[in-house]
Amino acid sequence: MIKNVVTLSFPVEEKLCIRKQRILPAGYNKESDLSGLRRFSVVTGTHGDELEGQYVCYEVSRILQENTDKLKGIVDIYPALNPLGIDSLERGIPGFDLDMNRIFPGNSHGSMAEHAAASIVEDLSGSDMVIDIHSSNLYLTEIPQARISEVFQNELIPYAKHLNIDFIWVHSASTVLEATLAHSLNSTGTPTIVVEMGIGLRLTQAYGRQLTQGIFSLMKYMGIWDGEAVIPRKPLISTETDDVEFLNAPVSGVFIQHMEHNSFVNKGDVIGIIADPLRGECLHKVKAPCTGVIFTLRDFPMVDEGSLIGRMLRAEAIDEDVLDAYRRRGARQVSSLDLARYRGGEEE
Amino acid sequence: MKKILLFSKDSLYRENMKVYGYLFGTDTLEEGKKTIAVVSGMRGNEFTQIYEASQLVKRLKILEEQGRVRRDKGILVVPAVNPYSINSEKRFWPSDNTDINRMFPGYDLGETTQRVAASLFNVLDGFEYGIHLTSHYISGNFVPHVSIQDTGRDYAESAKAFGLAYIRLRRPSHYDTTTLNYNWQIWNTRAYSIYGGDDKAVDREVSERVVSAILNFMNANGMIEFDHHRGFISSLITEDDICVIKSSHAGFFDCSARAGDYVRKGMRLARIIDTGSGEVISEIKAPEDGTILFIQSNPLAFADSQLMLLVR
Ligand SMILES: [Zn+2]
Repeated sequence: MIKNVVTLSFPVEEKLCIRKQRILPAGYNKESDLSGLRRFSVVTGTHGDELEGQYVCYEVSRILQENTDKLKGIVDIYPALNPLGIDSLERGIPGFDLDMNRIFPGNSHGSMAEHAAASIVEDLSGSDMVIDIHSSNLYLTEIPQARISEVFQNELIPYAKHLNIDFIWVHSASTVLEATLAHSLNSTGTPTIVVEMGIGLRLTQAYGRQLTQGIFSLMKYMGIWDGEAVIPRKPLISTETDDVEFLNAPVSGVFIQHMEHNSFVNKGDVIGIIADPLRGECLHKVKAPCTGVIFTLRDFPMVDEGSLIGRMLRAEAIDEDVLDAYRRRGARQVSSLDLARYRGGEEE
Repeated sequence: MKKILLFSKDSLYRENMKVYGYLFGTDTLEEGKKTIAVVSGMRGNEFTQIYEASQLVKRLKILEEQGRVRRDKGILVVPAVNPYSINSEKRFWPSDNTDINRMFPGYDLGETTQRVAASLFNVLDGFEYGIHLTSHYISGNFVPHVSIQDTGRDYAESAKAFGLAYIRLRRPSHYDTTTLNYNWQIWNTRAYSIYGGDDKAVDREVSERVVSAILNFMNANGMIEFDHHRGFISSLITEDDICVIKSSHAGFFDCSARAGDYVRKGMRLARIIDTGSGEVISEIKAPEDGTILFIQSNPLAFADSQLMLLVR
């Protein structure tokens, strides 16, 4: 059943509607007494340019509606917290300067966006688990990962391990991040895990399937789902700031990738180059600053001095068995240009 | 006056971005001589603010030629912190839409706008006084006033030297902790943000008042000799003194009030007109006696959104 979480009027014949789909176990309807049932919420679309969660919401909703007999709790799915942003390919809310994920818990006396934020928090509060799906931005690709503030790691890591993701990144607390949806909910007793995966404006279906499986696996662990579920894969876990290396562009240019995302690389390996097409020059070789896994990699080619090119998790921070699996796969290289094959018209 | 290159950043296809400052009083920006910095143009559409800074440069140049700028005080004016955004007609950073004023104190190994903020803060750190000419996150028209983020440093009284009508003391929210104003304060600069005018065009009348206010402030603090009109006896206001005016209806925002108007409770300030039928669907009346501090410039009213601010 579809419910309006927020309804606010626009000037011309339209309302801002933030909607959710509520799925109930077989035998329940909207008149039923739902007290005693656990509630699991999936939200996405705070950032209008992040669409990976669309696929996950569709799949979770579809599978649950076909299998309500195996559902043991309430599942609420919110696919678009920022409908205008999604409609206009905008990260934020059109006409509003602030990032929507920096205005929580909102304010029912503030602007339209702050008002909406307050209603969203009110509606989600009391869930037994909230999964807030993000997909990086227009520039970077991320492996499926949970981002957890160190303040809430003890409560959240045991759940995140069931999400079938590749990485759990515990980050340090910061004042600015206290205004996120996840922080607002976690600090008021509603456990919320932020998942980042893929890239902006695209659906990476393999990741979408992986997380969908993870959501069913977590629901099963929590006693909300009684059907089939995968055994979750073992994630990389980073809890120390020093575990992660950031690679920023030292010069402006075009970033040309040599190593594939999610590769295991050795210190000094060339991950890519920054080129100047006007002069036909390689301006900089981006080398791995450590041995480890590239869990974030730039997909959008233009870089400014300072632009993030990637992030690596150091090998020392990785459990031996997980590291072995990565080593076996090895560094995956993007095939390089061969002019001779061009001439033969055989370029694959 | 010396025009100095404060920092530059490279680009693949554009000319390097060059950020200049105009220095008065002292010849160098060494420690002990960093008296006051005035910064504007952090966003590409802050036209009135950039114009104000340029007029301030012009006025200080004349004062300096007349020997009325103290030689032991360093006055730095940076009219355009963000030429790339101004030239490409973007409010925020062209390639990633980030706001430099959400990146302070900056990080010189971080992302692009963090680096720009770091380069700027490297220059601005250590000043005794700092003025940021800036705009609101909602586009509109403000009565010129000084705003101070309340970090517990007790210097709001000192802002009376500007002679602007209001000194607004704001409790910083989470996202304010990354602004220039906040970080200046953390590093012991007395920071003032000045808001005023409309952001759609250069507002010369407001600019004139703001430039005079800054010169008043410099005069009162012994940096220059300037004896012009002294302006207002400022009122110190907090969030409790400000009333947010909203509309429960959406439609055309037909506003008859102007920023700066004194209004009585019950007076009609605006009408909301249906965008289809043309009928007046709602009237916005002053909830209390007071002065209009801010009016949004959008001709459309969205429901439950802030349209005006009123000082009680
Ligand atoms: Zn996001």
